[in-house]
Amino acid sequence: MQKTVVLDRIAQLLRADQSQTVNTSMRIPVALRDAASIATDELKMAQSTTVLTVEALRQQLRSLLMRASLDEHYDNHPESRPTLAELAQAEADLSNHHLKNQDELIARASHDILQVMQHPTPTDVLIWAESLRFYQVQL
Amino acid sequence: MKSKLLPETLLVLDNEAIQALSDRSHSKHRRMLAIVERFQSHLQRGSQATVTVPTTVRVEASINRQDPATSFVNRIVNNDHSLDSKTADQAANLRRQYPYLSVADAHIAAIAVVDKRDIVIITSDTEDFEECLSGQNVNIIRI
Repeated sequence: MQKTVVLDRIAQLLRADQSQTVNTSMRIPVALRDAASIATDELKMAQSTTVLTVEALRQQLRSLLMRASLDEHYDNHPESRPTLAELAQAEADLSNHHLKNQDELIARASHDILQVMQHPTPTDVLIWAESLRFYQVQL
Repeated sequence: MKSKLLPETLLVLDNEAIQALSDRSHSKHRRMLAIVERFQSHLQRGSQATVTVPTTVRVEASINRQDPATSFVNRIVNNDHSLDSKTADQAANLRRQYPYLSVADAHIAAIAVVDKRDIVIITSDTEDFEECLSGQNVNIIRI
């Protein structure tokens, strides 16, 4: 099957009616099963180990689907890949960081950090931007 | 800084946000992808946040999930928020109080009021939402 068809099918199944269930046998490590059992029985971290397993699987599939879809999108449309500054701004906005809406400062930090560091992350840019702001206030 | 979105966070997209995501010629397409990128990295680190689009927003934005052209959006936004009775009542109250809210925007605002999770709203109408929502659980992001 083509990758794009596979991704669409996964998306469709994740959106589908989830009320129908099926028994399945899965070979998992005994220690992992026991840890899950203690987490649910003693710490009430989930309703049951089944719920814990299903939710973890669902989350993982959603994350993988999103990653694969973004990568495919960039392969087909490279111009749509966000810049480091755009990613750092998005990180600040999503986290309600105090650099939220500070586009100019983040763009400057992104430009500067690329002069001295290879493959900085959006979080690195935010730390750099905070540092820039700190020294601006001091001077 | 917070290392990740709170586990139960719900990310809600407004009309322009979903349009920007679905249309790669939209001026804010890359901005929207940057948000999705960071959201995905939070998921990868164990956050159980969810991204959703209210059904009324889909109507306003003319997004039909059965349309093959919406394939990319369907993969990213894997969840509709349907307008149930409780949310509809809240949305009606909000529209009475803030008449400038469209039906879709009232639906979004009502989700933020009714839902107990932390809410992140991605919108081009930040002022409108800031005026009608004062809850501590809401983070309003300009697309």
